[in-house]
Amino acid sequence: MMRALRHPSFLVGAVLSALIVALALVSLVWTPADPGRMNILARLRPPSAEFWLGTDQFGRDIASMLMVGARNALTVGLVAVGIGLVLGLALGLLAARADGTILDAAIMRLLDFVFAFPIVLSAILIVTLLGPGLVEAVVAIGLFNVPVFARLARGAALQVMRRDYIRAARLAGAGPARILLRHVVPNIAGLMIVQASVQFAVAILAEASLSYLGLGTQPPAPSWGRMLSDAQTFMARQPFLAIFPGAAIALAVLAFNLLGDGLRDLLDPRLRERGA
Amino acid sequence: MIIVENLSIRLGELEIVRGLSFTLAPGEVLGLVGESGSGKSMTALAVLGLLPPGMRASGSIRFEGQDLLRLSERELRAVRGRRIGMVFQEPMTALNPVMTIGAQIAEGVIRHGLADAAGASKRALRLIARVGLPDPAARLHAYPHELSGGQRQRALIALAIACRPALLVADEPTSALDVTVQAELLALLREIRDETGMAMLFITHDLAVVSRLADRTLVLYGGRAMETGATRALLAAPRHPYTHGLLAAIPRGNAHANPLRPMPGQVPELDRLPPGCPFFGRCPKGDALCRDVPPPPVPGASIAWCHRPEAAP
Repeated sequence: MMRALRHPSFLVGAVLSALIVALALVSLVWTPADPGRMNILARLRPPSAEFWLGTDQFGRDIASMLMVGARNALTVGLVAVGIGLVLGLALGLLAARADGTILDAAIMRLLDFVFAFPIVLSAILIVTLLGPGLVEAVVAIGLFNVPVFARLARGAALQVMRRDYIRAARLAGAGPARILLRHVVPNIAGLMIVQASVQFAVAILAEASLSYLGLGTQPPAPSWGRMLSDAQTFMARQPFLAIFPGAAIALAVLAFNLLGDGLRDLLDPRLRERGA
Repeated sequence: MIIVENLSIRLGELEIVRGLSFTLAPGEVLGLVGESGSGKSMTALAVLGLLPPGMRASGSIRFEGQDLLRLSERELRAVRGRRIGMVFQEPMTALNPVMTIGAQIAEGVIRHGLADAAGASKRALRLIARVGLPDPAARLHAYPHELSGGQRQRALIALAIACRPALLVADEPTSALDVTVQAELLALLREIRDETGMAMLFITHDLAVVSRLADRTLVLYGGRAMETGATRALLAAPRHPYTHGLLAAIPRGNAHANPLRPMPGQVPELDRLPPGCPFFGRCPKGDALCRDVPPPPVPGASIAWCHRPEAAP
């Protein structure tokens, strides 16, 4: 625990992530102003005491929209990573169980095929097929997270399954399902959590990109990506409009990446042995 | 109690173990001795039905009226861990790092239907105390990384005997430990054997360990039996040149009076063994007969698979 507090990237990542989560939670009960309320008389205002981060072209309060947008970004990250983690873990374990067989090869080559496309490009493809919308975008991002988790799970599971304690578990009379769930999964959970944190950042960025292109979150729901694309038109008159959502996206991605990096270091058994 | 007959283990074309036979009576300890790659660990895994994928065993392993090599995976599950326990070599990797010691000991007891969760936990506590871990109640809830190497090996022994097996297979259980801890653990295993009357298949490369624990010894080389007999007789007057060489290579006493004689050569690749005796090529007595014809078992004070055994003194 003390070591966690001394680890700089974990500390910064954790604090920033917690801040974003806190803002999103607060937005559920309170925002500085109603994020949907337009005010023609207060358009494109710079930051002030009344509008902390200024207003957009419809006079909506940027600070409030960012807070609600954080909620949006976190939901996207959570659901997309959830889809990727659950499906990826299941497929990875299945492939590891079937190590060296046609099933293993089939699963992994299919995932390689999916993995070969950049995440945003393939999300655009799926959204084009299913139609634009938040749900479609999240599903698309989630599906393209699957290979990342599946590969990691397969490799780590193969390594764990060679250990003697898995033999010992078989001696204890545990069947294949119990061995996977009770003995293999807990031993690869640390790795998966670290990857989840990094993929969380990727998912937030992907959703922002899709929304920027008009394929993700649909108006009037606030989204960092769409705020950024709206701001483009007014860049010359009100640069703050682009700076704040841009900074929010950058900070969120940085936060979860740092958190993942820090967790990886802290969970790495080699470093842990050295620290102990 | 266990009768192994003509056991062969193949990995594709490679014959890792060939035509191995041995028996074990209740309460008896058989030392299976050999260098790395002699097939001793694979023999142990075959007895437990835990051979790595791709390896095939043939012959028969009769245990309590069943041929273990002909049991289905489901039937095997009822035997291994329950009637046959195993102590693994590496205390560092044989305990699950994310489960408490108590939970790991209890798992087998519960899954083999010997007790409910509370009963298994009580049994785990007793076993932890029996194998001599200090402060058993605390160890029950400890994770493997909180234990030293010797303590982990004690925990592994507790795990292996938790279901009161009739046969304990121990694969180099003391090789990763330093000598004093080694001696303590051998004493512990002997005590447990005396208390429970279980038989033990003890696998090691260390003749000193064998001399302390094993009633009988079987020496393996290149996957084949070289010599077998009562440990005392076999170590006092080895008849096979290989056993002879192993004994000569053990450091003892004054290095000037008893200079160490290492065995020349190295363990050959399994696919380059001669058609005759696998020890041909390193054997000081080897001739054309040894190269071409597999040696028959020659009875005497021990049984030696050798064309030119030492005469009994």
